[in-house]
Amino acid sequence: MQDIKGDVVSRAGQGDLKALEMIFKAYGDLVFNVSLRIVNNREDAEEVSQDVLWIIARKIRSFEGRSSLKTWIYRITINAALRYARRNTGKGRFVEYDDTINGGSGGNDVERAADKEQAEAVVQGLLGELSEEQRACIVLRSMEGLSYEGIADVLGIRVNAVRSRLKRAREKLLSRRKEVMRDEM
Amino acid sequence: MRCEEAQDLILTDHLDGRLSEGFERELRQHLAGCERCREFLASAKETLVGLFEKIPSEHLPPAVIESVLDRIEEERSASLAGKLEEVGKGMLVWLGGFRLRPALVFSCVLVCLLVIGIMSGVDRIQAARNETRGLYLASIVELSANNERTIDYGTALEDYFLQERGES
Repeated sequence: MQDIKGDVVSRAGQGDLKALEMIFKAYGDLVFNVSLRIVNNREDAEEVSQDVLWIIARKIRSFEGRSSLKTWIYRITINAALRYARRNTGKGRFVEYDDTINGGSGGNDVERAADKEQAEAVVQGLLGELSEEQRACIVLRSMEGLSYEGIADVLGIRVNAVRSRLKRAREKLLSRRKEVMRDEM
Repeated sequence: MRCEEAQDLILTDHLDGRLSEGFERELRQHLAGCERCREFLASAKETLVGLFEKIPSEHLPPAVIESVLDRIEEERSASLAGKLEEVGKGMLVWLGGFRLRPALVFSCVLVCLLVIGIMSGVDRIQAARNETRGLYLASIVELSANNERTIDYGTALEDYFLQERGES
């Protein structure tokens, strides 16, 4: 990821399109990946990403640097993606976890998981089992690698709340996976 | 340490590598003697870490960035056009005000004509004055030219002295 310096942010705030483009290019993948894992559909994720970039363009002038630019962009992305996911009837876009397992080409779970595409389908199926808030926590921790403090900052909650959400989300993921594996046997 | 406590730690701080040394030691001791928790740990690692690590990072299609930048430029152009339109509308309203008040327009025209008339009158008077003055100056010059030969101071006393000297 390209490092964005303070003067680029201030130039973007003054309406410099080149500076804005630099920010978009530096954080575009981050925005898209988080959106994709939360809304679980490529087209929808592109739409959310477009909205996020638009919000960044409009709000960059008011960015005060109290948090890092990255945290600020994570926050906008999570909010936009969650809003989109809620508006589009929750789990409607998610493939059922059972289908992702049964749709495989045979072999055991470990062999299937070795295939990246299959792993992606399994993860997306599992994420669909979670509430939007739990999903956001898991995406930020397990996919984006944010610390508990970083997640707390992005979501505006306490570190203990992050730990508690992660624990519940992971319990649900494990139990759902065990359930499906038991049914398969 | 009880199994429930160990599994809570596994699902959070242990998997995320942020368990304190003391708790880590306690957890290891518990795992050494508890097969169920060891299986739980293996399953958690496979599902919650292994699977997620395999997920490839995606790239945002460049067209998305381009479309946002285009939209910003369009909005800026529209905003400029809007401002110009506002100014234009303001002028039309201003002019419309005159259209709605014919008496005011007529008065303005009349005042303008009066001012123009007065100004041209003043110019004519000034020109006439200049002409008169010119003629006057010309007559003086002519008079001086005629008197150059016969110096006449024009007084009776002068005539007297001239007669005395026998010049007249």
